[in-house]
Amino acid sequence: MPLYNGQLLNVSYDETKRYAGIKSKDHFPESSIQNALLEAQLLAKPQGVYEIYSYNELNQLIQSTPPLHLLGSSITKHLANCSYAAIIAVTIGEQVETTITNHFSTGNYTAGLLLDAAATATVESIADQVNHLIDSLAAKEGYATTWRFSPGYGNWNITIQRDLLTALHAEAIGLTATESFMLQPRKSITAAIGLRSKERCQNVMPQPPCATCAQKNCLARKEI
Amino acid sequence: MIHIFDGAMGTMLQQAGMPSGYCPEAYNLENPTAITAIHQAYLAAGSTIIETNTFGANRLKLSHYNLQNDVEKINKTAAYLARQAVGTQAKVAGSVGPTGKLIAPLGDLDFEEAYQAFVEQIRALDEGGVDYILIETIIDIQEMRAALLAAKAASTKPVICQLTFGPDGRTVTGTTPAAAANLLEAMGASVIGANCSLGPQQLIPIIQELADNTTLPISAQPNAGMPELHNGETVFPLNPDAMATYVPALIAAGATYLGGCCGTTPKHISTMKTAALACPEPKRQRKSADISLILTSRSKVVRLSPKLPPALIGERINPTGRKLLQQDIKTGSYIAVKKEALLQVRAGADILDINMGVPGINQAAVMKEAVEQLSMLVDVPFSIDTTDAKALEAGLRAYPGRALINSVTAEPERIRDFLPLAKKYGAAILCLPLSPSGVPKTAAERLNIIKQVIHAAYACGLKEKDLLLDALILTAAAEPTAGQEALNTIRLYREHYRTSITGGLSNISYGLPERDLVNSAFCAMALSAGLNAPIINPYNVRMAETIAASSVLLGHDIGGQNYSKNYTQSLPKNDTMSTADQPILLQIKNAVINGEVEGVTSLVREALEQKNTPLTITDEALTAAMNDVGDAFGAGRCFLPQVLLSAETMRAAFQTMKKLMPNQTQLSLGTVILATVKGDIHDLGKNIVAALLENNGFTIIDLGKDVPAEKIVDATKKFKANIVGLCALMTTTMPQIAVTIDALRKAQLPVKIIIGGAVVTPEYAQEVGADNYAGDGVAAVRYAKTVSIQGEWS
Repeated sequence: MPLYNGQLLNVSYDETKRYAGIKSKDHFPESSIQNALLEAQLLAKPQGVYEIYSYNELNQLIQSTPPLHLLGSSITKHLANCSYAAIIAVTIGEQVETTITNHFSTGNYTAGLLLDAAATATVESIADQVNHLIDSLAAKEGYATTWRFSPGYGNWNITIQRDLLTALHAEAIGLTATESFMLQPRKSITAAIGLRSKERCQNVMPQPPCATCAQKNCLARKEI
Repeated sequence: MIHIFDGAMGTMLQQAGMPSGYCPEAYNLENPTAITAIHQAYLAAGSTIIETNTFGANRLKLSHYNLQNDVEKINKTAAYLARQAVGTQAKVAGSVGPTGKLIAPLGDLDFEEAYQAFVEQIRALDEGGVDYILIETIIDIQEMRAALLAAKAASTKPVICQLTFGPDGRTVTGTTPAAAANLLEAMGASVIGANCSLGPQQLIPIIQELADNTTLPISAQPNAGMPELHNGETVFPLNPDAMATYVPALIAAGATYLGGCCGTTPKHISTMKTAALACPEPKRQRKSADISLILTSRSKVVRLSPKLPPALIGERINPTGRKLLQQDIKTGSYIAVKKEALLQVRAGADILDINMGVPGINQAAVMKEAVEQLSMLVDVPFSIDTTDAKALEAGLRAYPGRALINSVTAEPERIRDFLPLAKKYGAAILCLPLSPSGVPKTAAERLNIIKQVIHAAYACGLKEKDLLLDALILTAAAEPTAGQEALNTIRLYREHYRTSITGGLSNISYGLPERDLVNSAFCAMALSAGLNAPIINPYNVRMAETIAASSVLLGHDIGGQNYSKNYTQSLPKNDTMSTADQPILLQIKNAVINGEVEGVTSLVREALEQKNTPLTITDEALTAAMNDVGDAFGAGRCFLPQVLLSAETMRAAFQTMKKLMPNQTQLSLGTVILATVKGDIHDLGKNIVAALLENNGFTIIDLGKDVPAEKIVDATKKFKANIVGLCALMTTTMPQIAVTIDALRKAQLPVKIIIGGAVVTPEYAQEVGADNYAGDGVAAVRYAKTVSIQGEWS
């Protein structure tokens, strides 16, 4: 499986604020956000793996080994008209997680929350870089890509998690799933990206806004 | 003169009957006539340079077809076929494509493995008789560096280096045309260019940027437009005539080597050549007069010139005399090293000096590791600071940019070992006026020695724009003339050379008190004398202020715009801050609301001195504050990190009271067991609830994450808990909440149950028999305070 570990150069300050639930108009001590960013950059060990497979829309199968049978209308709708699908798995490792827990247990609650947010921004940035590579590989053959869709979005059942990791040999980057299909280390992302011809993409929406999401209490919900 | 490459090979092979999925390079051996025919077709179309059919003929790519042992045979045959096809009518370029893997640490391919694969292929092409080595379609600058170093080692033929850029004007891994052009020219490329992915129109600005950053010829081999899919087939939209319409613009942008990539045919080449012949001879705005010293990282260019504001070289990654940093390097953790890198860049460093001089370690291995890790973390160029030639080469080899070598002296072994490395890796050199006869005292002596270093550098093929001159700054406390001589040296260098001038400013103050003051005063003098690349401690506020002010005074910060932006007085604090004229309890309350963790301790101390009891402080200041914060959060007027900051402040207040009045400890409002249920490992929300409950007076037993029901029941009994809080993040783990509640109810424990978590709803809480649903930590506190703790466990 091709590996792409990504760079840690641009972990977003604004996204960290958003994941921490700080709205853009709010003032919050900048130094504590900067410290969280610094800590995330120091502790993150980014690793990523990806592969592009044929996708059979008729039986909703990504032709990997093992094949991924896609359950749930959200993901099959997402991959409508796609002839290929890329699957990706990225992680930033366990050390960030340990430090977040330590912050909470020593009473540094704010640092814990902000580091959790910065770590989310970091792992998203790594996924963005792998996504960007897949976009460029797809464009080279004339394909457009869908936005990144992860197990658990909509009704895509997260029971796919283990097979997805197996197909990618994600153990090579230290990423596994628990019995209840949670990714471990926690700051990790798996996702599918569809490849289809551009003309078929014209009627397809870009990534929908937060407003359409069912998680009304989400800290990171974007302002409208 | 315009040179014309050929067009695509793959599509031509398919037209010649090669099945899809077949190894194109194997066709050199199996169907040589087909290859010769394609070369001849391009020759007839007007190509002056024909590319061998060896794009994927490296060991790593050929191993997909189990042909890894045929590298030499395939490449030599391909070179022979091209030569046979074109004779002396055209030149032959040996095509070298990517390995298909990314080099570590970005990917998992070892740099040396990539290098060896390229050496093997390029040697065979060279022996096969090609005229050029053409490295093409590369998306990562490290792979280009490996291939270019290999080309230089295995061949003396001119090397054409072509990267593939995306619509954002960068390679996939972030390199800009400017960074690539500066680095590749310094490393000895003969032609620099771009091919594939983009059509001719999208390539024009990229060619322009390359041309603006090198004096070398530029090549452009676009696709026949941006690829499209028609009925499952990839097609390229530009026909030969349409393609040719872009030729004048490509030439005007600076390209003198033109050809085609995916989707181009002999017809495209023919029309492009006709268009090229009609163009006037291109006149490049040659930049050879610009003698700026340019350093690059993977994605950034830093320019040093006496005409520009000073470039700051951060000196902090240096373990000399720093035990913690030595330990960090010795143990291979690099956390402290990385921290110094990130903080220096934040503090304004333009270049980072990297010194791994810890006694008793393998310096070369450590330098490689440090350079690899730091280059993934910061985007400023590096200065490799070592006296060990092996460590220097390890650092330069690992670095995906044009680094600075710190330093080259007139000592024979430095000249012998360091200068060839600078040439090989395209590095710039910091020239230091030290000679075997010791440290020169006067400016005139230093000038003489620096002349020797420069002479040797030129003899090795380096140029004026590869040099940075060090004025040699000694210690004023030991040498009374140290300051004067350093300033004189700077002035003397400036009279004789146009290059940038540096110096390690911190040396001047060694042994003196208030070193920052001496350093910054000397910095102002040195900048005025002509130094423009100070080596400094970027955290030093006085130094930063001095440099900012000097930039205004020396005319680099026109109208003081940057200075004004950074040094305008910040606004006064708002009036909700605690201020000394308020009653003490109100001050504490405001401190908690504002999250003033540092300040609350002294306020609590003062309140106790004024004979307030811990109970009064808790009720009237702390709890009152948390209630306000909770209400503000509920109403959307404040946000979670602020609530936690208030909780932290409250915690600090409690701890102060416990310390000063240990006998008057607070009564607990009740015991709360908290757990993330079995199968679930997400505990951020639970941790937040724990923090808030604890600081509102509850005793917390936190069982952690992935906790089975039995353990929660046992703990509830053991601690006689009043409340159990359960959470789950996912639909797959939420049923464990129901399982746990069942177990608690079956055990008939007098306990209230609160549940929460991303997917949990009030309806679900009702369905599974929880006493309360809490959407957030503040709601959990509000409910917990209503729970009676009297008597249930008796």
